[in-house]
Amino acid sequence: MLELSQVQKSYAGERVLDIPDLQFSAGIYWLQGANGSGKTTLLRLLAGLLPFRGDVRVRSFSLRKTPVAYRRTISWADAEPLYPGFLSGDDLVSFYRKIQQPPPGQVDKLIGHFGIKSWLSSRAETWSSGMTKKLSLVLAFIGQPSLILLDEPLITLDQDSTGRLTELIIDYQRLYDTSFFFSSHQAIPDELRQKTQLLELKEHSIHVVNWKL
Amino acid sequence: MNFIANKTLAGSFYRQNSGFFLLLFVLFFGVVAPSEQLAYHYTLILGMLETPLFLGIVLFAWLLYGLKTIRFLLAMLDEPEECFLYKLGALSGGRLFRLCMSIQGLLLLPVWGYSFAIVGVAMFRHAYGAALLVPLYLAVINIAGAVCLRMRLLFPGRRWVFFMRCRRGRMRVPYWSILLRYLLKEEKALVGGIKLFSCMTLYLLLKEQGPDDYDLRMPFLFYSLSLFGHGAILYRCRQLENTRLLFYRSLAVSQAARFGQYALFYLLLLLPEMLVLGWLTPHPIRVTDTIAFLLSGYSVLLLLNSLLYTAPFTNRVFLRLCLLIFGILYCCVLGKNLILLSEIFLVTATVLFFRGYTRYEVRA
Repeated sequence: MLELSQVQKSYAGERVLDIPDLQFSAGIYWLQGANGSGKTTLLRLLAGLLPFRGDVRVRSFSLRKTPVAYRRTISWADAEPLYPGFLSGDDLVSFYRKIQQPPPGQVDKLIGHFGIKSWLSSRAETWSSGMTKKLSLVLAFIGQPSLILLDEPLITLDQDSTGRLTELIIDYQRLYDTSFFFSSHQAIPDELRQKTQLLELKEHSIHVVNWKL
Repeated sequence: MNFIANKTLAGSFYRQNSGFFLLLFVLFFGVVAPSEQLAYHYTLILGMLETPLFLGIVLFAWLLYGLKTIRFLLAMLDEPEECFLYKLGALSGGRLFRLCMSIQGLLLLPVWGYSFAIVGVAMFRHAYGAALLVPLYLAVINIAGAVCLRMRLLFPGRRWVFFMRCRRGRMRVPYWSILLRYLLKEEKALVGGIKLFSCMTLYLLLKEQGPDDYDLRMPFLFYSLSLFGHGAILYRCRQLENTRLLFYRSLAVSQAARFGQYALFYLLLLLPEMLVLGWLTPHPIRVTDTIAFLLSGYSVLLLLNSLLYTAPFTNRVFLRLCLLIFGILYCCVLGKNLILLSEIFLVTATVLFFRGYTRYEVRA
């Protein structure tokens, strides 16, 4: 599902990532690593936000050669998402809807699932960080991406929303064969742990931890 | 409660706008000797009653003032230190509405005062239509303001609640519209200042051009100065994109479509200048010169946009870059090569964008 080929990323000459050829089959992956180990950089790189050396493929679409097709297969939610304060949730949903072209009814279902309908017409500047986080997760699930990248998806989420996110991840994996790469310093719910493969980011590369959690 | 709300909102309004009111006072009462004040205002009011266009202009000015008061009230409620005012939302429907009416009425007090004078003169002159229209019109503005204030107190953070519910997720929000809204909502002063300078200088310097002394060097110098100012707008937009619109980079949008969004955005940004130049064409400014002015402005904006994708510039470095382009542009005016240079700028902007966009390292 995901292939990384000689991925290298440096900041000001300092090597942050140096990943040889690696392949991942479809599944749910929990990316762990110490602060500064490059988790966010890796997720942003996979999301096509950062320039890097090498190439990445999702379902054989190359980020370098077919960037639009690649981006159509992935989706990303930031650890601490920020949106222009003057935009409403409706504006953002419309924006994503136009680009991601979700199947009919999907957006309303996602909005209902996270219980954000009541404040969706309000502006981003009035939201708490938890509300912003919920909307960023809804946006990440819009469309039919093959790979969803979630940077610290659990921070600022309340317990109920954590459960709902877990349900959604499991459902998407089961129904649409969607894969997930997420980083989290927080413990994840048991039902998700059972389906998750642990990866560790250390010494600039990804190491597959050889046991199921 | 009423006293606190009035003091907080109405008091702040008059304090913050004291300069504006002082100017109005000087305009209305300072230009005529005290002994002639009554005759002066009586003549003004007669003018309003006898010339519908004049009355229309006055009513339009009141509408603008009314909008200013509404915007002020809503902006005040967004201030963290005023959030205690949301407690007013707990008042019963009638009491809250009366309070909102009184707050809005206090803000409209100068206009109400003058409207009574108009009504008095209108009654005296038997112009009963105007005597009825003026206070009715003001009452509508007063009620509209009160309704907006009441809605904000009852539904904090929501605007146009019913409209928004109807259109949920169905109205198109193109990327250029987000950038434009950012400028209109959060960079009003910057954009307004630059556009005012740009349009005023264009109009004032070009309208004096005659066939015998036709020389565009001075107007273009001022025009390119305003283009230089546009650099600040572009820089702010890029900062917004690097922080709050980061998600757009991860979405499945081709580079050509992304470039198209910027192309449309800058076209709309130049709209005021286009209107001014269009107004002055073909006399006193020639069609070819209008095209040269617009094309150069548009190409500079696109070039600056693309340059910002070549490296994460600090504002100081970007300022120098803008100055350099401004210098090149002015040299080309002197050499009469403006259209050629604009074409070169357009091609460079396109190439730099397609090369730079994916290689750009986002730094907040």
